[in-house]
Amino acid sequence: MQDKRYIICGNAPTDGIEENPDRDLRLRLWGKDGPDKITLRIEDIHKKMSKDVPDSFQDLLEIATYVYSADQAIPRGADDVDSFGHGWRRDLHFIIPVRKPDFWNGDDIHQALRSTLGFLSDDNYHFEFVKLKEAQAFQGYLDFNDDGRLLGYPEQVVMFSGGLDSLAGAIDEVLNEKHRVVLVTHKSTPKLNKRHRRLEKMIADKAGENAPLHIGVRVNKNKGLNYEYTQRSRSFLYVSIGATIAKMLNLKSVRFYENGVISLNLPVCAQVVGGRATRTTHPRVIRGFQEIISLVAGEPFTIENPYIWKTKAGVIEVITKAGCQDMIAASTTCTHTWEMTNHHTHCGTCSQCIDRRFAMIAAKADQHDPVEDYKADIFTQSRSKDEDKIMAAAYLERANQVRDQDDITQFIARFSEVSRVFRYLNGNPGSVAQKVYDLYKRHAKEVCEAMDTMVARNITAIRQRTLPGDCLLRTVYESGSVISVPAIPVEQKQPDNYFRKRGGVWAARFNGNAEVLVTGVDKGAEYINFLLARPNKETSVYEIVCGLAINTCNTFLNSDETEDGFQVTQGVPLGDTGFVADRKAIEQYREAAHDLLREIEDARAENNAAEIQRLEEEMAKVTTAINEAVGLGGKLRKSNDKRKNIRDAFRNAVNRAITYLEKYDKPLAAHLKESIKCGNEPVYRTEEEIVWEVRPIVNE
Amino acid sequence: MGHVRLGSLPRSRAWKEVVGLITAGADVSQIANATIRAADKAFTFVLNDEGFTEAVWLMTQLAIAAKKENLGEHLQSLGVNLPQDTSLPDLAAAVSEALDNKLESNGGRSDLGEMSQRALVGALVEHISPKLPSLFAPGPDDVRAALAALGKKREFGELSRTFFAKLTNESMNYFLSKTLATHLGEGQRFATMNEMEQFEKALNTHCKEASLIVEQFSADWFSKHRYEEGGDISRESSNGFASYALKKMKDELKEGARADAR
Repeated sequence: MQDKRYIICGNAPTDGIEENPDRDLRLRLWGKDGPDKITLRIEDIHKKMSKDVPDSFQDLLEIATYVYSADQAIPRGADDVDSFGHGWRRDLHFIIPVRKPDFWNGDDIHQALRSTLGFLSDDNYHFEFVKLKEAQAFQGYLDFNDDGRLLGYPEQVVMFSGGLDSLAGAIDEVLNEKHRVVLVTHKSTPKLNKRHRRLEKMIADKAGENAPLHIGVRVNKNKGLNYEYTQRSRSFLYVSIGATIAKMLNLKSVRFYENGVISLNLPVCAQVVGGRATRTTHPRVIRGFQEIISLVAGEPFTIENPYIWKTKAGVIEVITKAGCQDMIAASTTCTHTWEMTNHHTHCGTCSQCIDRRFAMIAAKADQHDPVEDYKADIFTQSRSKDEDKIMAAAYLERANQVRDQDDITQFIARFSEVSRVFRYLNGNPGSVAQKVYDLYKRHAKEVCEAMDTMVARNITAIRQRTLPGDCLLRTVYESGSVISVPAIPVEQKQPDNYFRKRGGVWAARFNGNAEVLVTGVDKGAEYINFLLARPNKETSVYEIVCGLAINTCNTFLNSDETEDGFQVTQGVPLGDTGFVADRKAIEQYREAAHDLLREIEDARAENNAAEIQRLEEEMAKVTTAINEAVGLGGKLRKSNDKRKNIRDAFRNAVNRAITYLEKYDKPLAAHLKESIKCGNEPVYRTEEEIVWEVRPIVNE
Repeated sequence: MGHVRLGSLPRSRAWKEVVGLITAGADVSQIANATIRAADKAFTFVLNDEGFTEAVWLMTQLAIAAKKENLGEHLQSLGVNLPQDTSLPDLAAAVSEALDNKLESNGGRSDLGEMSQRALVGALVEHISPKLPSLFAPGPDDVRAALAALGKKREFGELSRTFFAKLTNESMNYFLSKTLATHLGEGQRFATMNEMEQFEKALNTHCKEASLIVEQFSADWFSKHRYEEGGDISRESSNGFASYALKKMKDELKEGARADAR
């Protein structure tokens, strides 16, 4: 977990806190504009609705806005595995001025907030509520947009995100059930405004006199407060606004419409732990919200998700059965809103886009969801980003795993995360477990059927291999085709001992143990291979090094560069280039130095500065020459001992390779250490003869 | 609203070697070995991970409760609340909830903690379900009877082995799922999804094989400590067991699962 961060809200005092502006955050909902200013606006509210909203609901709205803003302003750490995701979770300490501090500091609400938000966003929350000194008017948040009349009293508040699920919910409520509803939309990005308006108009056109009331909500803040895009706490703000509006309408419930698979959001793969899969409408979160709002309201308040037992394909069927297919293209599911353009309204690769495409095909409604709207076609295109490849494969693999399970026990044991929902849905845990299992089985079946449909549609392109080799269709279809390479190669009798190149990789096996692939130490592996191929035969190190270099690089080297190597192969040992300078030359240097010293003294006597400088420069050169030629104790230095360099390079390369092997096969490393002698004439020698297969395997 | 955040592996030398081995088509044991080595820093970092130690503590206490006069009361003192007519899903939910509540109160959430929770619940379900006549409508004492059997030395050893096998496999996948699917497609390590699935199954088997080393150790440890500590096991002993058992698993994976475990 990250270090403790304070979020000091409004005009809250900071007594006793050692503030650190680099780490701590200040947020204000009121006062003059500035870098810490955030604004909350609830639009299209009717004046009559704003009356009699209790202080506790006004506090709730402000708390939720601060929590949501801090969530975006404080970045999560790098998603590094080296610390098991230490930086992902934040330790957030809020100091928030409220109208009713005694209520908010109470154990029940405090615990409900910490528990629900902690589970929702995977962070640690701590709250300190202080008395709000100058209470601001609630109307400050509202944008009135009528003549003060409220036409009829709505029966239900429905959270409307503009995605397929909430669209189906709105259609169910407004068109099927003929309820008078208020749709509440959080406008998280201006990019979606136009699409929201279009969808709202389409619903209103079909609803006629029963057109729903729309309320939009915006939270604006300085760009400097937008660091973190995950926004896990968004649904808390969202439900707080919905509940406040419900309270204004004297209603006691709010509805989220979200299909069960997304709501339960079981991890698609092992790296998705905790809040890395959003828990926006997870049953435990919904139950927590219900508890919080009920405490705030002082009476039972319900938060419902009527689609908890539906899959996304089931949700789409609601839309098509109601004759609202034309609304599908206007809905937005993609979570990568930053990739959205006028031409491509969906990225096509995020978890939500993938789920939408599969569901559309499973529900046989994809003709209403143009593939051109997607920036990438998940089925037929390559995906350049690693994350996109992982997501698509993980999504499909989970469906395969669930499909293959024919026992609910296996399902719970494999996806034990599911146990977290058993006590938060209606019914006893046993029956809830069965319903969850059925839901996921249904979803897996839909995903597999959608895949079959897409394979059938693209079979010619798959057969002709005109689709990219890593597109989803190819990797899935060829899994089952006769041309597929078996996942576990047919066991062929392999030699007990080999050290050879297979393709571009070195592979070693000793005494019938598991094969070890040798990567990153190619040179050493090559030398070992050479020695194992010639047991007991001492070979000049220069021949091995230069000979192999020539074999490897002869296309790049000219004869001059390899001259030394050729000499070796002809039996002439490599030599150094001799001493830097011989004794006679050094004697001459010394005489020259003495002469220079005398000349410098003369020049000083004449006060000839220019001559002094010239002589000193010359003296420096002579001194350097002597130092380079003579070592400690007056011993003459050799210019560059190539023989020693080559011997060292050989030994180091072999040792590096053995050290590498030691990690994966200690007996092999020990054997090589014991049997290989380096030096001028390296050799591999053993007491008992071992037959090594050393020939490379090509075109396997 | 349901988006998922994925990560990628760091570009350190050790992780590059893991990726290199995957690309080159190395055997699961070598990849597991390289992964454990690359992840050494992570495992050192979480040596005292509260989620992990809490899961192991709960596992030992489930076994201790089995020999108590009132199993339900002991479980309740651990935060595991079971109704009278407990079903297996009830038990799974209660254990999850107990771990969640504990970590929620001390801010101890972590990735390893999450994986430990999954592993413990999964291991319990796998271990207890064969002992039940029915999953959903067991007799009033069926789940309790199955839990009571955990007090036997051999049963604890088996449960512990399943837990550590699952935890290790989860951990391996936690690291490797950040890269495996990027080597999927024609001309790559995994030409098809089938091949990748087979690799994952082989990795799972490898972890199960490696976990053999924990089984006997766990059984002996449990028996010895329960005797020495007068029928209970202290938190300190449990923490020591947790860290040593995990070390044994890591060492075993570094060695490669032994041939005689197959």
